[in-house]
Amino acid sequence: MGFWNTFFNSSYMLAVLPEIIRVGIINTLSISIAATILGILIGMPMSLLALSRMSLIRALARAYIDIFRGLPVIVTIFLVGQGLPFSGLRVFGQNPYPYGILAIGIVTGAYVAEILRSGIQSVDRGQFEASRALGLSHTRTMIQIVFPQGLRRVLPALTNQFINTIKDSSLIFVLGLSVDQREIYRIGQDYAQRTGNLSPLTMVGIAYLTFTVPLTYLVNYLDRHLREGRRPAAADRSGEVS
Amino acid sequence: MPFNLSTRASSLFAACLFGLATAQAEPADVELNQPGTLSVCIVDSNAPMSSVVDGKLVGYEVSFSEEIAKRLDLKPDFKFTVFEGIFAAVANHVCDMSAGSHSITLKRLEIINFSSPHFVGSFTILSKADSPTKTVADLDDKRLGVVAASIQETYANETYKKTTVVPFPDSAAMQIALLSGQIDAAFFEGGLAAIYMKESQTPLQVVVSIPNDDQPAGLGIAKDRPKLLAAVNKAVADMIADGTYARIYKETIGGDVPNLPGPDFKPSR
Repeated sequence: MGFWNTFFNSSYMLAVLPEIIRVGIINTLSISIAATILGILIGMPMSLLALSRMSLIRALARAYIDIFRGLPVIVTIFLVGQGLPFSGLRVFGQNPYPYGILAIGIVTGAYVAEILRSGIQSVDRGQFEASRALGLSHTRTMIQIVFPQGLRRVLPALTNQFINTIKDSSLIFVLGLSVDQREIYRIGQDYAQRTGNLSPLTMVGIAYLTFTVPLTYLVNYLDRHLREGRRPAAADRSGEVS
Repeated sequence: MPFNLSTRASSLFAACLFGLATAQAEPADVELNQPGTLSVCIVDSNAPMSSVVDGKLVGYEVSFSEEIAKRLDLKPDFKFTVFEGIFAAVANHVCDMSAGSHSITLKRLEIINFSSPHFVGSFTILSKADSPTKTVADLDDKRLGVVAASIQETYANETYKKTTVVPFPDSAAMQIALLSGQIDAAFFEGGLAAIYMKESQTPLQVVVSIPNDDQPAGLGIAKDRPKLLAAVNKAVADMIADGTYARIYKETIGGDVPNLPGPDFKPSR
């Protein structure tokens, strides 16, 4: 069994491709997008709570962020996906998908909260003070002035987090997926274990890279352009104070 | 200066002794990843075959593999593998031998070789005692857990066509899913099912128990290692003949010791 035949056997790679395209990609993307949306819905308010002036609120938000960033994702998936039904809270019935999305969404929320918090704190204090001087309340200042600027700065980091969420979606199989629920990794693994050949997993890797690599380039592009901000046009510049 | 005869004779004699000594210290020339060590892939959470109890690896497969290694004059080195990855692991020389209590099937023979049968068991479907899933007929439109790549998965897909078969990476994850109600029934190895029935805090019931006499298990060895296969087969035959197999079975599993098919066993499916 040569290295080339074990990892790059073209007939095994092509054999797994139709199922990856037909079943895997849509499942991987739906888990990732749903978990990301949930993560943003959790992370946005959590980031503001982590900056609350009330120390108890701050501490609780901090605890959430620290716990779910600190636990391995697979542990969280088990705790949520098995733990909720085990304790009688079978909120999603027997379907493992929503539990998996919830678990990954909770983890994503912790990372998003931390990213947004650091983004907000990087906004110049002067913005906050000027806004307050103009008569806006603390809450309106945070939501309408500071937060949007902070968000713009951290779009590259948020895109990075989306890449991580795509990769985390491969762990959902521990909850037990039926045939049509398999995401990309599971489909490749099924072929690999049936044949003893690892080429299907090479194809799985290629499928993931098809999403994650362009996203990485997007991150770099956003990073370059958003950090520097919009450049004023030449005509405006001539009107600067002399 | 030429050696005199007595020196030459004694050198020859010493060389023979050394050769004999080496031949006895080294086993018959078998293909191994590392000379002197027999690396064995096994599965975790699979009592009574292989599991960790009080920090120690124990079980039928563990004791059996240790005995094989001893007879081949090798040191056993156990590695945990996910069950579904165990055949690829052997085929790709991650380990020299696999002892995952896996049945000899035609499909698996396409990937690796198996020793002559060393274990014969059964498989059992369990459900919670208070569950309405009591018989095979009740499995229709229900979720039945299996370990991915097991013969239980193949059997379930072929036999229970109206049931949703749900593969898990290992028995432990499947057991939790059964207890939490995420699956309605779970397909275990017979020995493991018996242990769960006895030890589970949540009462369980047997839905069906299927003997597996025509699908005995064998030890997995890569196809390009004929000498290792021959050596392991000889060890298995000796262990059956001299009562070691029966002793290990009684110590680790208990109950009546089943007869094993001989080395000329050929799977029908």
